[in-house]
Amino acid sequence: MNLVWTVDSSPPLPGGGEPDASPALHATTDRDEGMRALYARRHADMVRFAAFLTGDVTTAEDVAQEAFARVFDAWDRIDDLERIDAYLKSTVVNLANGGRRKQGVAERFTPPRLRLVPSAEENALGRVGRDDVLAAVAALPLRQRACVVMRYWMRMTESEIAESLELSVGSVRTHVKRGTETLRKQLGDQR
Amino acid sequence: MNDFDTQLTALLDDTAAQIDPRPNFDAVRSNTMTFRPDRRGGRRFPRSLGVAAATIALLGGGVAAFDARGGGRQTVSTSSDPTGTVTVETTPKTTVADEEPVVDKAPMPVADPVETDKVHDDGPGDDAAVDFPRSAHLGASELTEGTMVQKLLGQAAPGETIKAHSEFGSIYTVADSDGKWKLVLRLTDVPVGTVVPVRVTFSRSPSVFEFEIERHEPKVEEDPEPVVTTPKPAPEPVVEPKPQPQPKPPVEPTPVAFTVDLGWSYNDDVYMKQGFHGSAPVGSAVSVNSEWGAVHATADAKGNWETLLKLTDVPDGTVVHVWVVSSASDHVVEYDLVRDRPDPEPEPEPEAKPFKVELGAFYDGDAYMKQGFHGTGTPGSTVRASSDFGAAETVIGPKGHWELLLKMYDVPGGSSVGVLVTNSASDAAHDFTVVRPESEPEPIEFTANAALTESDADPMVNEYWGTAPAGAVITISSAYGDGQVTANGDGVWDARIEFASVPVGETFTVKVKSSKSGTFHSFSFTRVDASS
Repeated sequence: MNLVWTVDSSPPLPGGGEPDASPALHATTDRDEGMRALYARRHADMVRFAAFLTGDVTTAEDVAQEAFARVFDAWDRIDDLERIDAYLKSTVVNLANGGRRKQGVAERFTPPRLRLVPSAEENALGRVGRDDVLAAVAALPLRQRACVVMRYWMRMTESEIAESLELSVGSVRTHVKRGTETLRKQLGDQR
Repeated sequence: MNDFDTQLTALLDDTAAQIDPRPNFDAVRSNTMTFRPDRRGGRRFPRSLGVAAATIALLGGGVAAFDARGGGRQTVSTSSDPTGTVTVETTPKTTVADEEPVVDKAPMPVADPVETDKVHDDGPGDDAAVDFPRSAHLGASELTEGTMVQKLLGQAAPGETIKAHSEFGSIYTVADSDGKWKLVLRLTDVPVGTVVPVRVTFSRSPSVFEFEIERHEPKVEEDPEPVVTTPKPAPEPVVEPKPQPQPKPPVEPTPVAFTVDLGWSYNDDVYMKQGFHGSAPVGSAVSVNSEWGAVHATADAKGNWETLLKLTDVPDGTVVHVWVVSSASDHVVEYDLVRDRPDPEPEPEPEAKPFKVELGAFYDGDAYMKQGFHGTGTPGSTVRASSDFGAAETVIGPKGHWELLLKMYDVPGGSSVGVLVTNSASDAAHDFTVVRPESEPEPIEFTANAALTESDADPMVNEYWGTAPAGAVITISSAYGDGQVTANGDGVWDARIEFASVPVGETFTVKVKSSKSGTFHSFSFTRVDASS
């Protein structure tokens, strides 16, 4: 197999992505090296992406870790390594959804978590806290959630989202619109 | 983007920036995962390692081998440290067919000892565990089809291996992170009336506890007492020092009897929960045990205790045997609880809808083109879209709506592809024709050239030529003459223009424009004196 994968070909994500912090990798099929570069570049963003999808940072770390482990296992079966970023994102979406489904039953019988009290600074600035945002995003239906985060945090175009989630562009537009409207009501009231 | 979109982007960026992930690449590569206690103090385990690892970790650590997915054997080991962090590690798969499917051989790393009364003064080489008290108690016993079943429980160093030996059977286990242990010893083929000596030993301590268990006649319904005797110190050559008795809780003036009552119970899809409460001597430990998990409680200052036994993964209909013991009493209370999950909520009757198909979005990529379809149909039935270049199918959702995306590979540009959409619950079929657009030809650039820059002829004649999009009208204009020509199908044009009455020495500009381009080209042309 003669595969070429260039880490630099996938741009860093906004909101904390570390541009070129990792060693760039060119023309390699070595799984270890490739995974190490992919992990260095994408791990933080995949945890954040999963946190938006699951609403919980600890779960998000599990989801991201498992997604990388699956990519690691599947490395030799992936024909187009240039699409590995999309593969990773869709794995995170699927794992986040699976985890929530299992978690849902358990959480119905678990006492509600204590809501964190906003800091004085947050109150003073009238800002919405991290947990509020995560909770509001995580409360959206899966596709709305994924579409909104990909659109507004990852800055992906509607067609890129459609390609990634295997939806039509029209569906993506609808999901983004509905998700945004819900968030406007949720977060707008708290601001 | 409107105002809220901008704010949302900023809000998501801010939120993401507050999340500080902890990378651990080696965990991905080696299949080792570390899990910290969550906010509620519980532990969560990797889904991929399954029940085996979680069970071992809950029991305090150890090693287990199990059948790996796809064949072969795999070993899972778990350990925990005093902060509650649990590490789970799997080894690569092996294909050794005759490997023993045995559990719990390797003791887990020892946690830093919590402060306890020093009850032993063991020899050198055992420093890490000498401060933990060792104890062993007999739990419930029963006789089943000729097999004597004796439960034992007690205290040891966290992670320590405890073995119970007898000539009719042996077993070992590993103490949990609190140092508690329990095991079920099964003795087979014991003749009636035989007194079986049982020795309990500890891997990191010379302490030995000995018990004698007598095999009675099988019958007697009215003899609820377990067929056990009290522990006695080990005989002579038994290792020094002799085990000290457990430190007793302060004795209350009026001793409280050990009683057990069932509390509320709850069965759902995940958990089987049963509450227990009762009384026991103040400060004494109460242990609720089962094959599926155990829980411990301590009697409070009024001699009351309560606890909740929470079991997972118990199959529906299973009878779970539970025995409750107290550190201050030989009395054992036993229950048989039945796992009885509530009936699942009935699925709402799906709403039947006619099978309808509509075209969705179309996407033309380099390698393939995609056509979306959506519509309605009978919930749960399958919709299939097929063509000569690919097929796709989906299952209609509970509300009777569906959508699918058909990917078609290697479709030549300009060709029409027939797509047939069918439904497993309907005889109707819908035909569509999807046309892949011709690939766009390379645009032809507008260029112009001139043959001469000066001439002494009268009239002056010059030739102009170049390229332009097919059909473009090229206009050549100047103060002394004009002309027009149309670019041919190959995008080529040329023109010959006469310029009359140009004074000798005059230099004028010739402008060349295309009707399909916003640019133009200009040339200078000079009438020179023929005699010079």
